Amino acid sequence: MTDQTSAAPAGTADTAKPVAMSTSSRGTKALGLLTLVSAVFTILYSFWFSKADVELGNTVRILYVHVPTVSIAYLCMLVNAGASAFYLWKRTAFPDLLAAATGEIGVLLLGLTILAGMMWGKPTWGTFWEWGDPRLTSTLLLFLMYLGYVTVRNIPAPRSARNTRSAVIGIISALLIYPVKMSTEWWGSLHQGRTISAPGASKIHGAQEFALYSGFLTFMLFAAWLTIHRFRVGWLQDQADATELDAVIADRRAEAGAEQFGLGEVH
Amino acid sequence: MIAQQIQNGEAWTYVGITWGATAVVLGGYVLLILRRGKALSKRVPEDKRRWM
Amino acid sequence: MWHDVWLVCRKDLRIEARTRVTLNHVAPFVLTVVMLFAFALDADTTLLRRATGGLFWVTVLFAANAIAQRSASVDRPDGLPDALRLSNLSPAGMFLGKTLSLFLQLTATELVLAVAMVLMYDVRLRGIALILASIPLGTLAIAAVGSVYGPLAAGLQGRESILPLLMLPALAPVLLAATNAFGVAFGTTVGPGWRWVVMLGMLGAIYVAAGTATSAALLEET
Repeated sequence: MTDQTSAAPAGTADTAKPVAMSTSSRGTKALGLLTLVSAVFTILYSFWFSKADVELGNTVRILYVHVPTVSIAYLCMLVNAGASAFYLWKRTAFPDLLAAATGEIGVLLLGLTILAGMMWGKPTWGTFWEWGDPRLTSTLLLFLMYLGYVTVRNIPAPRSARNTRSAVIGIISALLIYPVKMSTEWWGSLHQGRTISAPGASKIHGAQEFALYSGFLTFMLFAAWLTIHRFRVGWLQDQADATELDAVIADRRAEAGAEQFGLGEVH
Repeated sequence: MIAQQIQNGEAWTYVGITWGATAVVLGGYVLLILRRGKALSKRVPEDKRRWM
Repeated sequence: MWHDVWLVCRKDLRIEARTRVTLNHVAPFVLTVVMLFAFALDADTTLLRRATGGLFWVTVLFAANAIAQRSASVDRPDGLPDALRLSNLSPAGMFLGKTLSLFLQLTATELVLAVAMVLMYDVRLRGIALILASIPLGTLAIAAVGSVYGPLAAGLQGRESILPLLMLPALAPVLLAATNAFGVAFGTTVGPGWRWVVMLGMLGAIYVAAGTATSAALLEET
């Protein structure tokens, strides 16, 4: 997965390959290609090969985005929860970076889920929002919770403290996924809410079914690709901060050393 | 018949917005991440650039 | 551990007794909110009466934010976080102690709020059992969340604005459940009220468990 080669031994000058100048690698390039291919299939099936739904009309094509994004978002949140818990246990970099990546990507996907839901609602229900719909309401709540996660993650703080705080927020938010779903469903049923539903299992078949599953695959591959890149960016950020901190400390020590010997300011 | 056509047109607007926004948001995020990756790679010494 | 719980709780309550922040700041705030809602809803008594459950719990959430903020900040002065870390107090005990103290302060506030609402919104008390069951359970859940996120936010820049962003979405299920329990009690909603109470209990259990489990990690870092 990496292009990294060990540092060239002295005397062999420029024979070593230059190490990663970006977060790409052979693995991500392959994954990216797969994603693109899958995306092409998804788009073809969503728009060309599948017909408008008997009940939902062309708005069903919105569901080919709405349903996969929410499912993959949930997957991201579960990975985030597992990684956060593992971080609190082992305190290693990998789970923390994985949590950061999946948290951010999950928020993005949840936001898109909400948008797609609203776009589905207007032509179908006549309004952009329907409080009685559990899927919309629970997604909104989870979106806000994970927005809090991402916000706290980005507040400047000592690394260990930041990671711990974020991990706790991630775990609590994940623990709330089920209660949120349950409470919004109970609440929704009180208001006889109209709900978003994908064409029922018995009715969906053929090209529609393929479009939906292909959508799942596309978003999953895409999320995986994004996660790897975002993970690497997180790693680089931490390394950059540490490197620069070391440099500042070294400078300061040099100054202090020089002052000690009465050499005045060292530049 | 016309009402049906208008409704159809309306549906396509929302389908368009959904897919368009998805492409723009995700595409934008991809570019952001890739750019940040490149910029950060420059600031980090070679041997520390990858987790593994 | 239970000794630590009581120790921490007593410490916080003593501080409150001495400084009277909840009494002097939060209680008037709560009364002000009762008034504001009346203005916002155009003193429509029927509407106010129907909305009492929701307005009550929303106000409790606002008060909880203030009290949690305050409760976390008493532990921030120089040297205190380290002193607490080095003391032999169990982290779980400290978390539960803070939760208990928050619970008690919040309950006192709710008492003031309830009296004000009954009088000013002309509420007809019904379904007392449901109300009396949902209040402590809802308050416990709110107190637990405040005890986790309060100290967590207290160490951050922009802590006054980040605490509500963290607390309120996490407490939304509590708001849903508690408001509906009240709604059933007052007769403004239909359905089995007791299953909302069960949900409140479940939420409280989750928050308390999560807070206890993460207390050690948070104490070390923040």
